[in-house]
Amino acid sequence: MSMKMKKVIALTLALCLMLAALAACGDGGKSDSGNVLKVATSPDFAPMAFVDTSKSGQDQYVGFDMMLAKYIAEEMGKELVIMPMSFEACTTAVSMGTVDMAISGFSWREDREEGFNLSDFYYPGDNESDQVVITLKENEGKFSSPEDFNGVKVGAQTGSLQESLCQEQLPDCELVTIGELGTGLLQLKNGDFEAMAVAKGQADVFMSNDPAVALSGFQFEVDEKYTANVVVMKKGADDLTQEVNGILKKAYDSNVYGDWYEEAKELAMSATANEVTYDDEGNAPAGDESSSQEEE
Amino acid sequence: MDLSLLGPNIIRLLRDYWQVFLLEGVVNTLKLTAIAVLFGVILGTLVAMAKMCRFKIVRFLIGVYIEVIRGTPILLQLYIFYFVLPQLLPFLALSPFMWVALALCINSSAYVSEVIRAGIQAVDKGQTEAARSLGLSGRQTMLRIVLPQAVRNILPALGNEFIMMLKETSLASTFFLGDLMTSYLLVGGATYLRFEALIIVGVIYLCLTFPLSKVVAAFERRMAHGTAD
Repeated sequence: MSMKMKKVIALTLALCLMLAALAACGDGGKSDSGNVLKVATSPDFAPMAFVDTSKSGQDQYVGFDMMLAKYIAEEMGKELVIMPMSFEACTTAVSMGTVDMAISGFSWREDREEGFNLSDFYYPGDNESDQVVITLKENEGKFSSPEDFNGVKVGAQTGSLQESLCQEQLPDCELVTIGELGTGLLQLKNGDFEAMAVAKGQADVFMSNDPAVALSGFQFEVDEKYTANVVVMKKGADDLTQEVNGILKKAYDSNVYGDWYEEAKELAMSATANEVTYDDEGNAPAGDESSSQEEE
Repeated sequence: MDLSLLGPNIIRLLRDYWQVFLLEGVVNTLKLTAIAVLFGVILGTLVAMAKMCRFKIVRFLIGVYIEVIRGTPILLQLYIFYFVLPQLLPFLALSPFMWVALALCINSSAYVSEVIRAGIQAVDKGQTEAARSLGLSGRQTMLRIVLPQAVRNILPALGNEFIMMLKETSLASTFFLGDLMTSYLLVGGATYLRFEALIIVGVIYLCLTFPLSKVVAAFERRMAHGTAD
């Protein structure tokens, strides 16, 4: 009615227009949602899912899980769209229906089975089947039997497979829980604990980046149930689950998992450790500012 | 803690990944911040006007809007905008980046509107009374007497809002939208040199916010210069 009202309405409309214009100049919403397979992943977990920073767009997501996602999308005849988000958000995205599935190194867990449709197992090489204990270089190979860990502080990620393995197989060790692997590695080097339980794949990446880290000599015995990962889908999406299971079986039968895993691991190590050489003390060829001759 | 490799590792990350930190991280962080604050100010002005309008229902509704947005964590709002709204409003077809930018705009608008409202209401009532008794209309009073004085209160606070928003865009890394914190996740996740990546990102954030806060402080001093009290 009044001038003021009209102005407010005009301003609001202008704002809507601006937002619409912004939306248009963004990279445009995906319109053909019918033939797209949306997969949630948390790409901060080499060698399963990580980002090759030399590439851009959808190509930048690499790693074992991404190769699997590509394979599944190809078999389904759909275009793959990776939606990166934090690990916690992945499951939210599945239950909200924002994505069709989450592939992000999920291992089988009972509570997961209750809340979601889980696929059959897939096997990312030795990433899950080989669970090891790492330690500092000076303790390399010092621990070979479970008894060697008596009274020794061992770090493991909270709620992880490694944590339960420590509890089962190293009953007399002093378990220290850690939040995130990178932090755990710092704690290990800091002396908060002497050893740390991790998957072999992670251990390899750690060691290729950090010469101060070495294998302890002990390896867990791992139950079949824990050696594999699953694809997480929405509860009740039974047709999709069946289709995915069929594709996983085909991938398993054609023996591609091993190659994928090797390729992913190689990429993870080369992407991170390019052209860095270490001298035999394990020091990087630092310029003048380095100084690690303390402990002789 | 053995820090001897810290220096070399940081140099190595900077050498191999400087584009990720500077070209992607910084650019996207500034982009998100600029979008959020720009539209936040436009929207916030409208909200502040509505909050001071004479209809009680409008004032009430706007009050609810402001309280809900200021009373819930911004991370929760991002989740709502990223997961729930695209399903409620499928015709909008915004990219994830735009949804998160929109969430930040809305969040910013609530804070900005309070800044503007407080700035206007801080102008002494006697000014309005004097202007009206001198024969100026309500509109003239607002535009010529109240707003020029309110700007002095509002602008420095807006600068602070910009700095706040710059830091809050780090939450966009939940969805890997390329901001500085995403750079940390990507580089840290690929190399497992997380501490080193964290230090780099922290220093960059400081390099962005420190000069800004100095500018705002200088601005505040200038604005304070010449107040009656």
